[in-house]
Parts: sequence; C-alpha cells; structure tokens
Amino acid sequence: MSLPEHTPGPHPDSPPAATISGARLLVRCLRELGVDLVFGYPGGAIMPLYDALPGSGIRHILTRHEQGAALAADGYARVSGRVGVCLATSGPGATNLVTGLANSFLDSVPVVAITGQVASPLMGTDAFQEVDVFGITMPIVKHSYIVRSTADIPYIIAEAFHLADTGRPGPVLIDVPKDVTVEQISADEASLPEFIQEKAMVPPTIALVTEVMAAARKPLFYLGGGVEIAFAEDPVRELVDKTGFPCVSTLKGLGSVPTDHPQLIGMLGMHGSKAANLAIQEADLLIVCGARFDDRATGKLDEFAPNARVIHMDCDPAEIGKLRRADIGVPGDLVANLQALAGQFKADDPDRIAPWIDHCNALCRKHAWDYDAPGEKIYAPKLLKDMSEMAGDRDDRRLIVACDVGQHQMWVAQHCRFRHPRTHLTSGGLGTMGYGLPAGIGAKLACPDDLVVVVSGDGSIMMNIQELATLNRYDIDVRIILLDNASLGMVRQWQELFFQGNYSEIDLSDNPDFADLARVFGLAARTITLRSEVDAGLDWLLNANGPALLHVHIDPRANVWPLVPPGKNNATMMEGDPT
Amino acid sequence: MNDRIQARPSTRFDIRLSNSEGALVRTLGLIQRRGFTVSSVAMRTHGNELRVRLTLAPCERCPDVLGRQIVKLHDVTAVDRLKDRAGPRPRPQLRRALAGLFSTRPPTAVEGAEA
Repeated sequence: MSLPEHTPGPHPDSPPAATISGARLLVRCLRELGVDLVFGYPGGAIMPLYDALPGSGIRHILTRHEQGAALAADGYARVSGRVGVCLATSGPGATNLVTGLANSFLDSVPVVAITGQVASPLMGTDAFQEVDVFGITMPIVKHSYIVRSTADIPYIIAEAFHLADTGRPGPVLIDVPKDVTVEQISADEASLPEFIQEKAMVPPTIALVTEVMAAARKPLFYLGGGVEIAFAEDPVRELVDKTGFPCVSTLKGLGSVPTDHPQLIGMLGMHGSKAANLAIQEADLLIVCGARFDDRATGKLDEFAPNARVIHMDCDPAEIGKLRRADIGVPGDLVANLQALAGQFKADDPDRIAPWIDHCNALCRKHAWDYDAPGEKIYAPKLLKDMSEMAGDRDDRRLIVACDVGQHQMWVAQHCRFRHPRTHLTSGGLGTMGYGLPAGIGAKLACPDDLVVVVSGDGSIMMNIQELATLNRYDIDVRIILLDNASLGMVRQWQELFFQGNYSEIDLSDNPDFADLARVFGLAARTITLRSEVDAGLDWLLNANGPALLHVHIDPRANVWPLVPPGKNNATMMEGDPT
Repeated sequence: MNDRIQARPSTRFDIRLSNSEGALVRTLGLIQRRGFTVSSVAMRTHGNELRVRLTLAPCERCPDVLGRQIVKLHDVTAVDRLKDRAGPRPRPQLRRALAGLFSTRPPTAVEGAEA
C-alpha cells in the first residue's frame, strides 16, 4: 500500500549547523544511542519531534493506539534485549501509555517512553491536553524526567537509556514540553555523555553456596524471568548440566533451559505441573535464580517449600528476603555469579542425589500431560503442542510465541515448547489482556528472521484489535491463533469453581466473525471448528505468505488444569479431565 | 492496628537524595505503596541535596527490605536506618555501596546507625 508522502526536514546527521532545535537534538541523541526503530502516535505537543523524525534514519511504526505502541516497544525489548522506544503526545496520548508502562515495569523490561507535553508556561494551568504524566506514572516507572531545558536533552536521554537497561531493567519516562523541543540551542552543546557499566563483583559467598549445594540431598533450581533478562541462560544451562540437579521454571523463566530438557520438571505455580509443585514441596534446597517468589508461583507462601533452605540469586538486592527468607542471599550480576558458581561447584558424592533425581523423574512420568481428550471439539492444549512442534523451532529460525492473558496464556505456558530464551512473550506481572498482538509486532520487527505466532483469546484480542491495521500497513508477518470460546474463559472457570457457577458478565457469544474481521483489515484468515481440521489449519497458518489469522472455535467449557486454588499451598492442586 | 503490630517499635530512616524534580514525592510514594505509613517527616536542603528524616508507624513488614527498595531509587544517594526507639542496639551503618552484599540471615542492606 502507499502511504502519505512526507517532505523530510533537514537530516539530523547533516553538516552541523550553528544551532539545532531540541527536537532534532533529541532525535540525534536517539540515533547516537543506536535507536533505529520507535513505536508511536503523533499529536499536538509532540509535533516538533515528529517533524524531526523523517529522514533521521529512525523507522517509526505508527500503531493505532498508544497502548499498542508501548506494548510493541515492550515486545521488541524482550526478544532483542535492546531498549524499546515509544512516543506519544501529551494528555490522552500519554495516559494511553500507562498500561504498557506498568506492564514493562512489572516484568522488568527496558523501555524508554517519550511524551510530548504542553509548553512550559502552560504547565499547571489545565491547558488543552495537559496531564501530569510524570506524576501519574511515578509508581510504574524505574525513573522519570521532565525536561526543563533544551540543553539537558543529551544527558537525560543518555541517562534514561542507561537506567532502563542496567541493573534490574525497567521503563523510564521522559516528558518533554513543546517549547523545549522547539527551542534552538548551539549545536556545540549537543554532545552525548557516556555512562559506564559498573564492573560486576562476585560476592565471597559463592564458596559457601557451593558447599551448601554439594551437601544437599534434594536440591532444586528455581529459574525465573531474571535469567533471560540477564542473558544468563548459558551459565544457567552449564550449571544445571554440571550439577545434574532437577529444575523448575516460573512462567517467565520458560526457555531459560529448553522446556524439553530432561532435568526440567516443569513450570511451578497456580497452573504449573503437579510434578513441579510436588518436587518443590519436598526439596531441601532451592537455588533461586532471577525469581521473586510471586504469589502465582508460590501459592500459600507460609507453606511453600517448607523443608527447603533458600539460596537466592538476583540482580536486585531488594528482592532478596522480600517474601521468603533467604538462607544465603547472592545479589548482583547473575551472569558473573552463575559463572563463578559453575566454575567452583564440585559434586563430592553424586550418588547422594540419585534417589532424588529418580523421584523427580517418577513424578514427571506420573503427572505427564494427557492429550487424549474425548469428543470432536478442538482441544486447545493439543493444538498448541502440535503448533510448536510443527513450527520447526530452529536456531536460525526460532519460534517466538507472544500470548495474551487468560486461559490460552496458561495453555501456551504448559504445552508449547520453548528451546530458546526470550521467545515466550507473556504478560506475567500485570496480566495485560491485549498484550499479545502488539508484543508480537514488536518481536517480529526486532527479529524478522524468526517465526512469530501470537496466541490470543476472543476476549484479549478485542483489547487491541486495532493493531491488525498495523500488521497490514507495514506487512508485518505475524501469524495469529485466536482461540475462541465465546467467553471470558478464565473468569468463567473461576466463577464455576469458586463462585458456585454464578456466571456474571463472561458471555461473549455476540463476538464478531473474527475471520471476516481479519479480512477487513487485509489479513488472510480461516476458521476451524472440528478436531479433524486442526492439522490443515495449522499447516495453512504456518505456511501463509504474510500476516494471517486462524480462528479456532474451542469448547467453551474447557478449563485450565491443574489448578492451585487461591490461598492453598501448591501441593493441593485441583485436577480435571481434558474436555 | 492490632496489638502485635502496635507493640513493635517505630522505624526511622535518614535518607539523602538529590534535589531533583519529583525526588521527594517519589520516595514518599514508594514508602506508602510498600505498605508503610509515614508518621512524621522532616526535610532540609543542603545545596543540591535533600536530607529527609522520617518515622514510620509500626508495621508487620520488614523495614530492612523497605530500605533496600528506597536505596534503589535513582535520586537516593544514601539510606541509614536509625536506632529503633525501643529496639536493640543497632549495627554499624552500611551505605549504598554495601547494600545487601551478603547475609546468611534475612539480608539487611540498610542497617541501623545512631541518630
């Protein structure tokens, strides 16, 4: 399709002029920091910045809602490890970023959000499209700035990127009043400061950790999302292989070690595998790597891993001892600490843990997933398992799955295979319905050679359905599996189990025809209803030429099993039959 | 507030932070969000530095964890936990550089110092 033509202004890298506007200076700083892609939506207060973008070498992706821009930047950052950047104007543009920023904050994703603001003299006067986004976002950003002077732009931009990306990553907001972007300053003032990464120090406690590990009889690695955030998968895998210890993973830790690794028991927590939850309850030592004892993972905290001593390794010292007492806390750089641990660990008596390994393997066999669901209706767990196998996840063409929130999110975590880190995009902390599609867009733009599949539900997809237009506009090759149970399935499941079947506001049987809707947006689409159609449907989707949507009708009564009831410990899982 | 909590000593922190936009609000907001109640606060400016001394109402949550959360804020340069009014003799003060390096007990990155 053809897009409206734009006459670019002077290139920001063109020969230095005597003066430079704040907007061009800001864009130049972004370029110097290596930014080549941003997501955003223009508007009044940020127009000077948009005026500086064309010809700058920065590609701008126009999402159809600012939340889509923030979540796409999140997806981009998660798969690439680079800072994602999103732009929005003041007022409603800025407030529309809020959910995306909160999402990145709770999942520790490096994002820099740049918002336009009304001109400085108007701030505090209830001006048109004025809102205190600096104040609104304070609890959900790692740090934030209001740029008060054009000359401050280089320092603030450089520091914002440094903060977003170092230590425990997170979103940083930069609010830029319009007059600051319009003002001209001397180009000589426009140099970008450099921030130096602090050298990682390995704490002396590593020696003690190795002693405790070597003495344990029922040790277990507990791998969280911090592993892939820190790019610590190699030392983790080395340590897991070297020790022979079994491991469990949190939702966000999936992919730290391949999910088909023989030592991985499974995901723990509310919808984790029963084997993983039982193993945790029996373990005498947890080696926690980049995890934070989230309530969805631990169940009733007082009864979680009652027999275990805890070694807690995390880059964020504030997480150690926050919810579960650590017998040994190892704060600091996860890569350096895990490498040191792998280097120093010696198993003095490997036979000591042999019975434990046998026991964990027996738990895995006993509680293996059952895909033999009766009936002809499509069984979503089996479909997702088949999809991840058919997708042909390879080193040179990884499968990246971006999912939304609800039952399908848990089915993805339980049944898709993840062999690589940073390939499972899920809104773990905030649980943001509407995350999947924009995150998939960000992921595909970051990793164009990989296969990106968005798995969504009929509730979640409608939260950011407008981003189908973004897929079409830029021909972003994202494949969508839409699992449609004509209801808000997870809410319905909880109402069935914990609210005496009093179904309240969960019916979505008046959904639009999603295949027709996708076609209206310019995507290829198909609908399947019967189990016998699954193979052909997946084959069509995975081999489509460009963005496509497979609309899958599933049984509205299907539940996610197993389930730890709220307030119970992880050993008391409810189980149901596949339907 | 139940009796068990009321019997606990109040917690006092001395916090140094840069006098940058939003720094004080950010710090107090964090304390509130983490479940603590500020019962008194005093602030002085020293050039580009703010020095805030505050007392928190007794709380079931661990003040040492709160101290580590405060010290993570970019604007904050140092956090000292002052001697509890009814508590044991405090340990020597540790500053940001030593925050949470290691402990075999529940880690305490920010520990007590004489007022």
